[in-house]
Amino acid sequence: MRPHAESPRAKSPHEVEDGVSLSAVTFSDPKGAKTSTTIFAGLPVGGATVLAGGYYVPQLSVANFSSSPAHVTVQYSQTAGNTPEVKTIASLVVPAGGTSSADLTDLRGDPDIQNTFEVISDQPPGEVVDNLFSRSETGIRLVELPGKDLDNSHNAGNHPWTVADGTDSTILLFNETAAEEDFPVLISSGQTVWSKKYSLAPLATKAVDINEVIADQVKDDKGSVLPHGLQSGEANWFVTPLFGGTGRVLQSNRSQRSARSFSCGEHSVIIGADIYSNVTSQYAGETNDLGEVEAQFGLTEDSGGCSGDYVGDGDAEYYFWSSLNTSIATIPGAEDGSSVSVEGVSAGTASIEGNVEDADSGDYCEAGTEGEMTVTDDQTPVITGISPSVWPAGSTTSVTFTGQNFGSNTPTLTYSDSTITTMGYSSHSDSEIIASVSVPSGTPNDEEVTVTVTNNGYGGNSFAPVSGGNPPQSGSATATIGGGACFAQLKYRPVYILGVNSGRNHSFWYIQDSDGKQWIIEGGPAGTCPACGNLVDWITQGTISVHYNSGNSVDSSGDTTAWSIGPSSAQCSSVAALHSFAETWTPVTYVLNGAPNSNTFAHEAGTAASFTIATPPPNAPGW
Amino acid sequence: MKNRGISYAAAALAAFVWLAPTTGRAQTAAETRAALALLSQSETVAYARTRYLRTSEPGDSNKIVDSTLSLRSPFLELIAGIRNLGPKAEKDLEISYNAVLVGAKDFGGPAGLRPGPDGLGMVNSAKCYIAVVEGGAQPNVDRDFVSASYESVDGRQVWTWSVSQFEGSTKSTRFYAAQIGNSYLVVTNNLQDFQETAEILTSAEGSKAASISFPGWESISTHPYWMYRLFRRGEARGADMAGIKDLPADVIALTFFADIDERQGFLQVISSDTTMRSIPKVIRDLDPNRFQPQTAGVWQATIPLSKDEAGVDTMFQVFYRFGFGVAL
Repeated sequence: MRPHAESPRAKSPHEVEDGVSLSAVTFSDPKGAKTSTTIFAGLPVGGATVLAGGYYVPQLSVANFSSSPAHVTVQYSQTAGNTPEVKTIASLVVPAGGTSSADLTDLRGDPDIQNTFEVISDQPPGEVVDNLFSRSETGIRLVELPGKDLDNSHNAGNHPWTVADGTDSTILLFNETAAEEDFPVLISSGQTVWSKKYSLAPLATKAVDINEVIADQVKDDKGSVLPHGLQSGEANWFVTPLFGGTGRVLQSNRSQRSARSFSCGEHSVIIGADIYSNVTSQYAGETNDLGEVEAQFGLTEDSGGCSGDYVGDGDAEYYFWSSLNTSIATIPGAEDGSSVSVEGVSAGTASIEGNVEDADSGDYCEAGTEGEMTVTDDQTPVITGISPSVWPAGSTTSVTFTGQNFGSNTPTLTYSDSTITTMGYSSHSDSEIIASVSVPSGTPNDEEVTVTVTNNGYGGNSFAPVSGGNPPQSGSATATIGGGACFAQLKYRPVYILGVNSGRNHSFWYIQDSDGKQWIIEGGPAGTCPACGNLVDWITQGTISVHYNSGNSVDSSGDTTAWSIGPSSAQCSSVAALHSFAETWTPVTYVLNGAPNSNTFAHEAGTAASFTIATPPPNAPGW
Repeated sequence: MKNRGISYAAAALAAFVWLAPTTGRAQTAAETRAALALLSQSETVAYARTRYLRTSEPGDSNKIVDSTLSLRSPFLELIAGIRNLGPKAEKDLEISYNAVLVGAKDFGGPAGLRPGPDGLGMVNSAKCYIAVVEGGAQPNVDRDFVSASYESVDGRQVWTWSVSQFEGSTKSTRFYAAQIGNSYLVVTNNLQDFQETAEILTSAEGSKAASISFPGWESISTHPYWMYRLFRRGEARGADMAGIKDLPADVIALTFFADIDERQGFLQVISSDTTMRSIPKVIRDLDPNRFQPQTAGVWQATIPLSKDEAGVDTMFQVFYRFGFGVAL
């Protein structure tokens, strides 16, 4: 740890007699520069919240060691919120072997010091040396920062922080690149770790106030907070590209009018990889997004190595995926993304390797790890249940098929009697199909029908032939046609008052006779009030009443069933008795006070059919 | 004509001493004025705190069996009318007004209504609803009536709208509504009731509320739900529709009030026979022995507001007696 700064009480080249200064001791070797651009990140301009009430004006000094004039341009990036405003603020011509300076006045700065300068010369790297500092007439009089080469080899930092004795610690990050960049930041103290990823726009500066993080209980990306009372620790940041990030920690104390900057650079390198799987098993022929691989990053002070202290996962520069068992699973699409799709070929477990690299040439670090994909071959469907298993002729029946291996794609139902058709599916899954099955009138009674379920694949993918072919599989079971089978269903529905549910129900019968004909049989008041007439009945062939058929007040086969019996030929005599009861009904005086009413009629019709109705309709006075 | 109800009550009931249990708070002056206005015009008057109407939504009558759900019966036509105005109107008015009363008369007609029922549904009657707000500050409900038309009635701007009939009849119901004074929203299903009620409430507001003269009022008015009917047998257009079929001749009036939270209702029968020799048979399926003599001419039965079919059937017959019979 080498702070590139000294405390205000340390002797510095820029100390002034009646004030204090924050000055950098430059350790960098100009000949080590790789570019002709120097970055000064986080310099105060104007007022600065954390710096003892000063008002700062930046000043630039440039020395040209080359044998030709240097043309120097200064770019200023001031970030408000997350959006940087970038502009060229000065252009100098520095004579060969000479120096030049400029006051950078009339700049508007960010009070959180989200201000960064780039000094760019047209001379070869190391020929021009820049010095940038900010002066104030009050408070800390001088703030000087070490410049960093644009392509300095550090892409990470590890700095001390403290909030003891009124000290403010602020992490200042700068994205040097022309693309948005993620800066994972870790603030730790002992075993306590707080980690959050900040995305910085191109040329944006970001200030992370550690005091605020603690005081406001700011949650990190995992929902954790730094507990109150923490005093000091370490702050790490890194970017995943080899170049492109700058950062430091500024410690300042307004009451002591002191400030220190820590900008020791480190190297973030890939030290491993993690696969985060979305799917670990699938069927042959099915393609799924396996998941994604992320690089594990570690920090090291030594360049050139691929080991370090783990600080977190992040994006790599390069990816490469491969299947280690292509007879079981393959990668049908791109192999160079952070995520990968895997297609099942045959039963078994395939290892899928994900590799990450931080560069594709020169000194780079790489790592790989394996995930598993278990592939299941398509299985033959098995029908274990059909309910109801007797289907009336001349009607459409909702049938539930239970079993396994039906597939997640819409399966196909076929019948040994080709006149029987599937009218639609209410639902389907790998283990259950609910379908409307239509049996035409005239289908022979007691005919045995073989039903076949064909599995059409999973996840939207059909069983297209793959590596030898996995055709759709089918399985069968048997149902019976109950042509002529009779049933009776006691139905009920709410009675409405101007469209509002009255809370009382009207009941009626829906029956099928031995001819396969269906009927709605209902009672109710008739005649002109005030006499209010009699309790009469209506018999309608079909599934919908022609009498009560208005708005939502419709008697139909779709109404709620309170009780039912059949379909069975054994019930035909009872159903006939019910029908006969309705046909021979003699109107009686209707009574509003409960009975007799339509519910009374329905009850008596059931009694005439010798039904023992265990579950009468609810909320049906008069029953 | 319009004061006949109150005169009946005064004449027939003045001697009775009321022994009803008490609960809750007394009615506000505004509620008392509204009750007086309806008692003067109607044969049956019912009262409910709006929060109890809210909690007694029938919901899925296919599954829930609960006799308290029938307590909305006198107010179903109001709910239907308001609900027809728009999706927020019902909720807005429930929140804005603390209580609602209804006065009903002319069971089965006329008042411009169709004679009914000729299908399933409730017996038609002339109904006047008064929603009452506490505190004397009218809520702004204009947005709830934007779908209604504006008409001038007696120089007053009145909202009017129609709701189609259900259950077999094509004749629609026309509603009239206006905020009256600082405390009332009046909604009726006929113009005459609207005019009379608006006039009474307008002239009564600000004056000291007259006392209600039927015995027991002080006790009954502490309940969050009550009904009162003073029978006008001579005006009945059909015994069944008027709810007086097989009603003993000595029965003058009925009251029903409820402690809904306790799931208890109380039915009182006021008879002209003060000898108390025989229990009047007013509810078909209710054991006569449930009635206990209270005082001369007054019998009272406790009716559990139970969650079973027996409770539903009993309340069905109770509401029939108050003129809210439903054809099923």
